Amino acid sequence: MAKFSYRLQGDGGLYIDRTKPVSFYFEGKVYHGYQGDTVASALLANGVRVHSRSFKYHRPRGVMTMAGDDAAAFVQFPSEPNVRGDVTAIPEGVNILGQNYLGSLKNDWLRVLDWFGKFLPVGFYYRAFYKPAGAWRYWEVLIRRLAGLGKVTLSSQPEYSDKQYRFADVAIVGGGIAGLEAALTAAEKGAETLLIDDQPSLGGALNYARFDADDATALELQKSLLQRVAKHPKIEVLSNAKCTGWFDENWLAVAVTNRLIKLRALAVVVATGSLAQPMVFRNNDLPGIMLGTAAQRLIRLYGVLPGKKPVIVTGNDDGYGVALDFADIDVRVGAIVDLRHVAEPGPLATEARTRGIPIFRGHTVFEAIGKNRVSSVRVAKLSSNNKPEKTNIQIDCDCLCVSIGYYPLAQIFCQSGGTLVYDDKTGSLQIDSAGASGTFVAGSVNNRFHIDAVRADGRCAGDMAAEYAGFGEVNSSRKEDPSAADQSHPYPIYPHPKGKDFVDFDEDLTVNDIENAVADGFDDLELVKRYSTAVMGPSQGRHSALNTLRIASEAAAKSPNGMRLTTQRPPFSPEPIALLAGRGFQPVRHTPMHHRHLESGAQMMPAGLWMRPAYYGGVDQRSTAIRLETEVVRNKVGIIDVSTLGKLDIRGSDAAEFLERVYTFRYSKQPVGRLRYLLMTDSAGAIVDDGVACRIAEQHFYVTATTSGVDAVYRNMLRLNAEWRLDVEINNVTAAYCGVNIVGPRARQTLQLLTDDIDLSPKAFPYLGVRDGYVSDIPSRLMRVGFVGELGYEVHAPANAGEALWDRLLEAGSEVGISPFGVEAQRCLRLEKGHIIVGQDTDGLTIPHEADMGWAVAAKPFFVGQRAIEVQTERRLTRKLVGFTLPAGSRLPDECNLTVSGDDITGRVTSIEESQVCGYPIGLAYVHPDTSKVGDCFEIKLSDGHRLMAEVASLPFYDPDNLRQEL
Amino acid sequence: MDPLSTAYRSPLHRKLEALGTEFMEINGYVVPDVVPGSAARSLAPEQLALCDLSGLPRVGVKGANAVDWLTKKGFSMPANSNSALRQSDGVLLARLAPNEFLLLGEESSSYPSIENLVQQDEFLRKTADQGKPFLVPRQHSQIWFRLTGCNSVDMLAKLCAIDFRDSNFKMLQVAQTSVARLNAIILREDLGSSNAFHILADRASAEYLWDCILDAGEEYAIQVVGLKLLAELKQG
Amino acid sequence: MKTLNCPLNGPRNITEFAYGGEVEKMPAPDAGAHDWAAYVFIEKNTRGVVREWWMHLPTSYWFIADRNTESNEVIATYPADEIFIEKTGFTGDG
Repeated sequence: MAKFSYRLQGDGGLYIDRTKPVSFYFEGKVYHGYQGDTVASALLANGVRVHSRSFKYHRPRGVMTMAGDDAAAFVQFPSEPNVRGDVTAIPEGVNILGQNYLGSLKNDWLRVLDWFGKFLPVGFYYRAFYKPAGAWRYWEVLIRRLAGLGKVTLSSQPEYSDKQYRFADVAIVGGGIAGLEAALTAAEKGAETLLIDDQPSLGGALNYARFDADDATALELQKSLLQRVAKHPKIEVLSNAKCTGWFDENWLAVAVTNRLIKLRALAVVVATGSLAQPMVFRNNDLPGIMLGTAAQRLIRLYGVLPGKKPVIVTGNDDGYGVALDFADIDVRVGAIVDLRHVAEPGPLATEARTRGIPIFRGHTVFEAIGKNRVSSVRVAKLSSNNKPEKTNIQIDCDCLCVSIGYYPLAQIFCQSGGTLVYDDKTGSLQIDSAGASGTFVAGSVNNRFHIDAVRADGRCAGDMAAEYAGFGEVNSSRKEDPSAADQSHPYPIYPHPKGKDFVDFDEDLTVNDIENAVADGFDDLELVKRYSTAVMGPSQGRHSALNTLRIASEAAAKSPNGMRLTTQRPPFSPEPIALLAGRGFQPVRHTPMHHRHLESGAQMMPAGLWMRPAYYGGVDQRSTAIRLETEVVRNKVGIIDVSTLGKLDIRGSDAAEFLERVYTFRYSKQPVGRLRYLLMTDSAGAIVDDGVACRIAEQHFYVTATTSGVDAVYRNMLRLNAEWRLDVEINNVTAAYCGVNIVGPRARQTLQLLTDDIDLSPKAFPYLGVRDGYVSDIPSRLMRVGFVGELGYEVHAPANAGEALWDRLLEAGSEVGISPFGVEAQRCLRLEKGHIIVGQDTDGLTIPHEADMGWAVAAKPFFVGQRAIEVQTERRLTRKLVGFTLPAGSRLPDECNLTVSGDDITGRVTSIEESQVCGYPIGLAYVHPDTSKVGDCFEIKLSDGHRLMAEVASLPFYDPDNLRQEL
Repeated sequence: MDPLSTAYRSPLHRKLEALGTEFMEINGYVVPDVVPGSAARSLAPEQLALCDLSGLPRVGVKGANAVDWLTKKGFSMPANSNSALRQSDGVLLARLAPNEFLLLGEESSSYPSIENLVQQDEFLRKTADQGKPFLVPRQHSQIWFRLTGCNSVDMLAKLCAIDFRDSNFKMLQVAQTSVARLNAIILREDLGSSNAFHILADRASAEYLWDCILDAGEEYAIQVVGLKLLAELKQG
Repeated sequence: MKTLNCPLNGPRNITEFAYGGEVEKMPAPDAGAHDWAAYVFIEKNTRGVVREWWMHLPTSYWFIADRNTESNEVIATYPADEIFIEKTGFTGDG
């Protein structure tokens, strides 16, 4: 016998293309749908009703909102968990799984948790699992396995995602009636209008709802509005686009497939509509129980029959429309249960009565019955104060459609500052205050429901938005919709003594849970939310906030009138992290010689944004390579790429004065052609940078700074001079010039081969001198600095010639065994000379005197940090940076291992190296001033607790008279 | 022509070589003349194209006396910051701030002017002349790209938050902003009938920016082109 | 995303800027230790309009903004030389 198909015959189904079948797998079985089907619609078309198991109790769940507003629709894709099956297209050939079960989706062993509901009251996890002491360790493992819904596939690769900026005069969020009218109005006034809609087709409720007895209005209006929008040159439509957040000054995040659009609009209209709401009664979560709008979406958008034996429960006229929709496709409606005792019958109700559908006025559904799907409902008469009376009306039913009210989807508007408050008049939430300036609302999100009222509201909002964006004057004014008072039943909540009357379906919270939260003392909605986790699930309160508010205020014996909803924050709907992360931009900086390093086998390391060669050699040859490099520098000649070093050009009649104020040392009498050490402190006296200042001319200095510090130094210099207004020009030329340090006993003879116009003899070009000239045919500046303690020249040349300079130096030195060396070797070499590295041997508090650099602090009228240093040196120092040695063969401490005295911490190790040339480990460390003299001993505590004895040594460790660098 | 034959090189020379580029020499630099593939089809004006102009002459001029100094040398400058003016000899002079200017020499007719300014080989100057402003060494501190094609605005929107639509960003307008998280200067100068831009950014991030542009441009079938094709687009 | 109106470049996203602290007069070099400590460490935390340093990162251009710390509204932005007009001297002669 052929299985009953729930796919409607004919050509109905706005989203589906019946000429394009798609097959897919669910839980290992193959199913067939059409292009345009979502996972949920295709499964329902095939009669599969259980799509997931609930979060806490593992109850079977199926379609409820059919709009992405409940977690019951979550399914597992191979590459992605928690996919909203009710709004996601079926992927061809893929095996989709249900989530959150042990065993099978149909027979979940963890269903037992449903029977233990009594022992899992709201907030139970704050109290359970901690006794006996240590119990948590065992519970945690179990809970981690059971918690969560889907599974992350660690091997899945995200698709390429990127971001794009866009601009519009007016942005409309929502392409339903109000949004379409707003767009047309704004565009007519000349505004460039972007219409953002999350559905495959524009129209919103026009595409699935029923507005009148003969169901003709919607179709006509939809055709006419869509045609006009398509033709208008000033309207651009983004379909399948979800606005996920509002940010300052009408900055909207819009997610479209794999792209995140960052949209700046002058004015925004939020026309996002409203969501129908569930009713609270026992077993209201059984598959087959859905919103009336869900049933209408299934029928009109997907051509799927929601059920063969539908029953409608309603609190407004729209429920009758759902009944008529079933009647129109020849499906017998078992009953319409109307919560209202007395109500003026609208046009839909009148038509339903005419068609002879059984109607129960002043009744409610108070219990649903069924195992894995609803099979019947129990209906009871309601007393005059909305309480179900004893009754035994039971109606066969495989699909209960709920139409008892609406909740405005105002999240985007609330993110801009608007608030939603409960209003007794409408029995639902209402926008209470304005959003940010330039943000407007329209349509059912703004409590307009009658088609004419919605259209007028849309036009008015478009008018106001266009005016705000600078196009014309406002010609319209807002009008309220009196029918707003008839849309929502104020209390569609019928608690059952046996419970399982769900309020938040994502979090598996029942009426009891909300009442108990209040009874536990959490009587404010903000507290109820956090204590019970109501509205904190994936749908973020879209189907639960309203009922939670009602129950909480009832339990607290407070009127809900005027009660504010909890704060709305982005994202409005789930955003994959790949969308936020991609396409990331992470700038990297290469020196002009970068590729030469790679070609020479360098291991590169990051230094801020720059890449620098750490050493040249294989990863497994690290210590050997570094040792060989240091040997070449001490015995022959090596070159290191120092292009990353900061370089500042400072000139003007106040250039020297400026340096005097910004650095600790003296520069006004520095001779031309000489360089001098620079030490920079901040206003708290702490060392922040160092370098050298070369005096090129009376009013011209060429200043170096550290690689990672130069940007901040430059910024700070400009800031200070914006205040001081000295006659000085400061320019950051770091990237304009490359730098090479050629250093070692053979440095002079190598360089001499390349330069004719610079006299390199010691007398003509002494240590700490600076000269300009040509190296090969490249204009260069040469500086004699002593960082690593050998005869050396730092060569600065235009960046575009860097590669050529490097090649020519290597060629010139090839006969004497020149070789490049990297940052690691340089760190070792400088340590042998006792030189500090700012940021490594200094921290955020190190004042010059702690590092024996009082000599660099001059007595001057003013420099940045001067007063702070004075104040701190009036007191006794608490630590000193000293050089130390360890016995040969000793274990090496790590950088930042503590220096200790008994149980007290006295400082830490800042630098440590095994010195080739000394033959034992050397380092720098902060120690107590009492153990800071040469010969004193102090303890270092290693990471494993073991202690070493170190001895304070005089600096430098190597060539104490500095003869080699001054050759 | 061997791209290593001159001492001065664009940081993009390796990437251009890998594309089979034919080079030629201009002013001591080796520049891309023809990139195969792009020459094979005649480039439609809409076609998104990228050209490395880093070898062509450019210089910055900055200081309190910059305006007077340049005026005396015969340059005319726009009244407002963040706009540019083409000089009679082809130099494109952009005003970056009241006292800061950028001179771009894309046309060969403009080379002498710029060479004149830097003739004293700025780096080796022994004295900072009184009355002479600072010549910012943008020849070395920045790369210079040309981006052209009707999709250039949409493509830039994937890298930069400025509104480059014609309604907001005019011909010869300048934006000093962030592109792919780099500090950059963008100058609009249409080529023939299609949108086009000059982009200047940190030389050290040249390859990074080149890759970002080619990645963002893939969606629009971006092509790397040489100076020859760029000249042809200018005529058409 | 908030925008800031740079006096040199016009309105730009706030991510193009860096905050530089409140505009505050530096005490005299020989002022008391307490005055200097207050200048370096103490924030007045004013509710209301505060004068602040801001820098446009791509151009390294420093300017001043008057901002209401309660509403976060920027009342005005202007070049620093509207406030700092003369050379500051520390040597007593300039």
